[in-house]
Amino acid sequence: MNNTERIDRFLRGDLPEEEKKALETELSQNADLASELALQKDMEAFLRKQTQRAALRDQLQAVGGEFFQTSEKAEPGRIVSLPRRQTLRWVIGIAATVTLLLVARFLLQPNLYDQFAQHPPLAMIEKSNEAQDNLAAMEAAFNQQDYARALPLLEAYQRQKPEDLQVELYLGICWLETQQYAKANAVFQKISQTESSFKDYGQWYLALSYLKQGNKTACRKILLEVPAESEFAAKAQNLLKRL
Amino acid sequence: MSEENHLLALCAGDTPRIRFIYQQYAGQIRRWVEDNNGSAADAQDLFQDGLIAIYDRYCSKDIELSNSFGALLFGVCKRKWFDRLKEKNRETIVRKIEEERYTDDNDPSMESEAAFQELQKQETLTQTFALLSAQCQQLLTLLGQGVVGDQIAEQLGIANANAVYQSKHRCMSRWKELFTQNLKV
Repeated sequence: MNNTERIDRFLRGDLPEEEKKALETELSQNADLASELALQKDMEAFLRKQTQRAALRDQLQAVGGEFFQTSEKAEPGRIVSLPRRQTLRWVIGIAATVTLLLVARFLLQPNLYDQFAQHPPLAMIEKSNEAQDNLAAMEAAFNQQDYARALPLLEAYQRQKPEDLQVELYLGICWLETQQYAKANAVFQKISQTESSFKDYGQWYLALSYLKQGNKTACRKILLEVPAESEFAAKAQNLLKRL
Repeated sequence: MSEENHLLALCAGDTPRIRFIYQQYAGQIRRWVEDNNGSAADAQDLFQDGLIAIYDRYCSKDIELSNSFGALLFGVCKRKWFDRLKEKNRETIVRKIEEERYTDDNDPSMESEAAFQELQKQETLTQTFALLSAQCQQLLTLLGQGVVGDQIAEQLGIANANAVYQSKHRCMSRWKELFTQNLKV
């Protein structure tokens, strides 16, 4: 039993009396262990209140906006009548500037897919007791967005653990990012039809896949099916508005 | 509204009374930030961080506020701004503010330092929690919400409650490792 497990069981009151006494003695003599206990208590407290804390942040953000406004009201301008030809030159100039700004905005703005495709980081090491080298390489490649390098590593892992839905999801993301849409769609479709905790991810990524392929109709259709209780419900509504 | 009521309002998330806190102190903090090379947007972030720091330090722990709410809030905001400038390596400005830190009689430095450290800890917990796998995040969140092991096992497709706790230990170990690597001292 490692320290994390001993402390967890101690905090939950699940440690046999003898082990509990031994741990208490050790805690009074070992400062590092005492720090680990304090950190685990902080983590537990964080988990209990994280929703409430995030809600308070949103609330403060909204209230703060009222008191830290940066935009100042422009003073009303005077209306000056110009000769007709001069007016025409102004109109053409303004129209050209507006057009240029619109084109620049279109070119500089990241596309919708890039704005919405924020992949969760891959964290395999904590999930497995197996040899860590390959897992670390897989994590590093995916998290550095080197999907071509992550792909064969994930494929090899999936051959060993075909039942691991989480790995399949990340495999789908790699296929999506390397434009292998048929494979990506198939895997997202499959995950979206399971009753697992990844169901919502499957549905959301299927919509993203259609978005990346430029198929807005199919993307919209999937988004409309996202249920209110899905963890992607807010994002889906947001994307629907932007389509 | 009294200083003690400010704290109660913050802990309860009482919007009208939180608005009053902004009304009372936002101008003062905004002026200070703008005088020290910051913008109104920086001041807004800072003010928000200051309130969150006080929330983290005082709302779920049995610690009493011994200084005035306003002085504490101002102290935390200054400490946070100092830290942010330090990150940007703006040494001259930092030196100026650092000098001020040690000569400012109104800064309840011990309390604001403790609240600032609590904020750093909570922010690091938030950032490193987001680095865990989706499954770890879901599992730990459910446990934090008080959902029992058997239900979590069913919901996440894990064999049984025992396996849920084994996963929890692996996730917590990884989280502790990430936290230790990322905590700023």
